[in-house]
Amino acid sequence: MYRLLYLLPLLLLACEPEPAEVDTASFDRGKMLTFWADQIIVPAYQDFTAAARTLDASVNAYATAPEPTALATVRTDFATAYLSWQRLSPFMVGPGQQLRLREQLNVYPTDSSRLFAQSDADLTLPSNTDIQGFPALDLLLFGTGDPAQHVEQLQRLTDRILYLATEAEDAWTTTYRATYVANSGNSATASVDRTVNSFVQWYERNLRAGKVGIPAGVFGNGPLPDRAEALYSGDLSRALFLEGLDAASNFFDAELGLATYLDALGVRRDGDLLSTRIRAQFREARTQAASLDRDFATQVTTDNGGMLQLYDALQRNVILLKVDMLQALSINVDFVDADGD
Amino acid sequence: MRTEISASPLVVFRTGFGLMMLLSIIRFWAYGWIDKLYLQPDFHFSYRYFEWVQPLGVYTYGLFAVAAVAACCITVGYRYRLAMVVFFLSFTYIELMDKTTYLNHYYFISSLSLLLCFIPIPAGWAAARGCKIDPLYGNVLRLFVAVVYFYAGLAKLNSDWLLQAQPLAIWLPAKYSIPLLGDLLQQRWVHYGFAWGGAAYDLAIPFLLYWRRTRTMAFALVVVFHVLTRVLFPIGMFPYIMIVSALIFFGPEMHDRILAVLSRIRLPSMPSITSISGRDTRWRHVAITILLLVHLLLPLRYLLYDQELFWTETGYRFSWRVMLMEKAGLATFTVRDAQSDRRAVVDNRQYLTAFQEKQMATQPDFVLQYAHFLAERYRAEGFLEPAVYVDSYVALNGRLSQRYVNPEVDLAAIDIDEPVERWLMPFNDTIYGF
Repeated sequence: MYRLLYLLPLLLLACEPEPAEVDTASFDRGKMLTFWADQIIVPAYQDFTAAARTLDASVNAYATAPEPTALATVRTDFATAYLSWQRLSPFMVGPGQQLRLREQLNVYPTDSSRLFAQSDADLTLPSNTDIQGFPALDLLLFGTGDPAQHVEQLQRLTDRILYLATEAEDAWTTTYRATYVANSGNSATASVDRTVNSFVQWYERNLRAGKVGIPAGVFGNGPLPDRAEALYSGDLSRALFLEGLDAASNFFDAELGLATYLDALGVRRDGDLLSTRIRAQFREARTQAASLDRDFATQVTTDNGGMLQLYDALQRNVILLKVDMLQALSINVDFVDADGD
Repeated sequence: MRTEISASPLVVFRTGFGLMMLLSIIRFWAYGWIDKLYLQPDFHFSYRYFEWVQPLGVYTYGLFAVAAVAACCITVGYRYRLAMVVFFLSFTYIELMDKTTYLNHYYFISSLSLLLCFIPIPAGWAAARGCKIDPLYGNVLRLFVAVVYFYAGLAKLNSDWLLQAQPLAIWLPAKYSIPLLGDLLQQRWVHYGFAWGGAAYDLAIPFLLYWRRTRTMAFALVVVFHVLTRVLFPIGMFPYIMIVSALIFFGPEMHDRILAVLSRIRLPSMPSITSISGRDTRWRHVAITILLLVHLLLPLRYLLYDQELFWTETGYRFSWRVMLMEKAGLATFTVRDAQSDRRAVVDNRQYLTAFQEKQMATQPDFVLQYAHFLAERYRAEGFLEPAVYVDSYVALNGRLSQRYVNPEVDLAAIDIDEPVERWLMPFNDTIYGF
């Protein structure tokens, strides 16, 4: 009789399968990573490198002939490159992270006194992240009486941006892409986990806090208009924010994006698909931002309430992305023994 | 006086236990976790009444070394009782340093090593052959291991586990990259199979191991089950420790054979003794009885509280609740100075590691301890009367996230022993069962 007990495990495996809601077995994370690499991240690098090259060229042209039309071109190309950066910033895994692109390209506010006093500073030093990149260009192009006085520095800064962009793109396309796609497992160091962790962290820190929360004074006492992004150009900060928000929702909603992944796992919360809830929050944030001033520094000074509402809309998605989505996708934060105690 | 039996099961148990402990410590050390978990963080989450237990700076390595040397001594049986006491103290000290790393199996090791301090086991291997002992001691260990399984099984009899297959339905699909099993783990029926199979296994295995006719089959199940959990979940050495522990259920015949093999390893000569249970039996029996009572009763303390255990976690630790919850959270603290209008939002990563932050966000006692720490920190930075508020959300076993701590409550003013229901939001659902 007791021999039948040997069959116990077999019995368990032989239980009648329920009709699955969605065929999750067919969801291929390797394919998803390939899609992320080839359709989202690498194109974002290519666009950004091209924009950085155009900017570098127009700064060089301006250096040769500092005419008002040349300056106008530089300013337009600056805006294009800065906007293009917003679409790349969420994906700092691999070379982007190693080269510290986010730190070297967009730490703001820029330290204006050091920027002018140390125009030959070593830009590779971590202590000099706040006197280079787009915020420094913003100051030189829009916050000085005559940008022509700073052409050499403009050239140094745009050269550096172009160098970093090219390096990172090269590393991605030549070696890292293969590693990235192959590392399709489930651990704190696997590509899905890294990309999603870095994406959620960017959404929380750079998009929600950096662009909106800090200037709105959420983290301190009252609004801090001088902490707005692109402070000196004046009318760029909302556009930069919207570009980042679009990058986030496009990544979430891509053909093989996080929404597809969540839906493949059949993730519902209180009856609704989690993806639907998250999508609705992205929409709400976009609507809220549309009613704000093009310059967030002006917005927080004149009517900070609207800015705080935008922050709240963004915060609701931090909860859905960081708590509900990371749980549903079982994204690992760290490698240590843990058993869900 | 009972009829004495061969002490070989205890000798093999001692050897296996010592060896597993040694390997655990080496593994922990080699991963760099001593530095990462105990030296790098500025702040450690303490157990209530053990706040004085803190990492010892660079000497923490020495503490691990002491535990490793004790584990070596236990393996070979050199100065066994002293080694066991040293191991118990050093290991328990390590576990008490930071509850972020709490795992049921660490508690298992601590309480088992305390129990082993009172169980006489002969020294060496060759020297131990033929030694007789009161069968009581072997049975005590069997009961100890059986209770762990059985309580773990009881804890699985709840509606989330049985009716929703949660949290397995979250964890298993993420293991898509495991060869052969990856695709199966996506299937809903497999989640239910694992949930029900796991509960049945935990409840039945003590009896199947105890009953001689099913013992071999049961041991095979033990190996299959634990190897599977090792493949699927990040639980370190626990599966191996349980496999080795289950050997205690076998009779002296098999252990005599294992001991015969071990005896070929040459050790410095140790005194051979023929019987070991004659000495100091009364105080041993008293201590063992007390420990077994604690072992049986401590896990039931959750019955004293009427809030949802998974939500408040009051009485959750030290009760063999393994793999029952997937809890994710987010906690943003704001410190306000009641005396001025100063206000600051805390970046948790300034004080906590990623792992500490993750554990803190879902466990009330962590939240409160951290809030008190923040109050002190901000007082030092010039806040005259810091009040600490937290905006927090927790998702439990695949439910939509809901607010966790009452955001209106100044946590700095809450006593560490205050019942959690006074400052935690109520859980918006019901989980039935144990």
